[in-house]
Amino acid sequence: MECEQVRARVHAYVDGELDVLAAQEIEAHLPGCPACARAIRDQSDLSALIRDRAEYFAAPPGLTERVRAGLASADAGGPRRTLRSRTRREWLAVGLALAATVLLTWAVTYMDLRRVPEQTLEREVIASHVRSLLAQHLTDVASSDRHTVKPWFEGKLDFSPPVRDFPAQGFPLVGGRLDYLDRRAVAALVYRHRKHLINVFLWPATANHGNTPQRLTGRGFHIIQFTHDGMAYWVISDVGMPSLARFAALLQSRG
Amino acid sequence: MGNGDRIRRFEQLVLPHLDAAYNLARWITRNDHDADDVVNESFVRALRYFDGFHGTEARAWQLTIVRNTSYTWLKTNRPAEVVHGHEGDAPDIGTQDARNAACDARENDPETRLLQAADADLLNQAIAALPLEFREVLILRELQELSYKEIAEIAEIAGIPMGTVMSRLARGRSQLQRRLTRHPGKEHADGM
Repeated sequence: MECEQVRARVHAYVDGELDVLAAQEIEAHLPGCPACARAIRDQSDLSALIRDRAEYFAAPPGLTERVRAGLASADAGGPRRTLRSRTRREWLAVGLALAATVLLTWAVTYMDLRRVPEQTLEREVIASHVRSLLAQHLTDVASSDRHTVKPWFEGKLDFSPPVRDFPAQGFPLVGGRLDYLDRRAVAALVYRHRKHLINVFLWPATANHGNTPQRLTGRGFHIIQFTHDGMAYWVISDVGMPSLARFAALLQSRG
Repeated sequence: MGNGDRIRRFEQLVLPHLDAAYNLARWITRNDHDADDVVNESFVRALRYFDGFHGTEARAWQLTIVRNTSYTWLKTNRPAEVVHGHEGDAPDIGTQDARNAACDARENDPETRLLQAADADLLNQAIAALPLEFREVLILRELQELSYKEIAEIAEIAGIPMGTVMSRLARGRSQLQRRLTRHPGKEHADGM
């Protein structure tokens, strides 16, 4: 791949939106080209800086209640909250009607673009993930030290799960937990990324587990499933797919 | 489905994305009060359209409505901010590099590296000072972590071609990079 082609793909590459082949071609080009390597690194640094330091405005206190009240009164046909300016209400109404038509079309199409989880295991993974978040039972062993978490599983599982930690890359280990999936006891490793929690379910891969990594979305969660070093991994979180893909790549990296 | 059930189901599906909705509205309108108005309005609209929503993931759907509501609000109240015309600006440095297409063996110049210890205030001011159409895509991608596909769907509804969106992302990032590396210290900031 030539420099011009690399530069044209810098953003897609850093955002994890390139297919594997194109990404590999870029990676093959970089060692021999400090300028392109710098371009990639600069963009990667900038994205990381924005993610880590830019303000993420949280909804101010009371907004949830105000929204709820607004929904209730709007639905009851009561006085509707309008945008403050009243001078172009007709224009707004027309715009709304048009937008509604487009949105309805889009919503139906959008449904086809997402895989609704049909398979039992996907549903189980989602259910386990949600349960761990809601039921105050996130970890059995709460420690960011993998030398504490890994031995904890000994005697509780019939396999020894690899436990890694990635604090420098923004994915610190939170702890571990026993869980139950696919009719067997599995390891659940919990990680944090910014304000999001990630569950990594892993157990020995069987012949049923394909080698092709899969990405799914269901119930507002992103899921990445892959096999690595003889283990089947299910990684689930509500972080964006690009971040989750980065994390999955870390899990599969050497080191 | 009873009305109470409908609202409950809507709240269950959509209210978890309130922070995301507020963040996008706040970055577009650059004002707490206005963002509050926009969020309230966008959730009322979303409830109205809810019967047409059949998916299981409402985040991108709600953000689309927030984005459109924000733009409608700006066009009505602060139309000067929605003026386009930045597409014709001078090409950014990245594009020129690509055209030159020469592997430059120049060593890393420390002064042009992005500041690792960049002041968060400086960063926020620089993002807020970006033209609206650059800022919007940047926030959707970096903070809301929407995929290119999800961003394309939002853009399609707004009548913006995907190529334009990707160009805005590249130019927004490039402009931001220039602002942050050229003036490492505190600088006079516009916007926000």
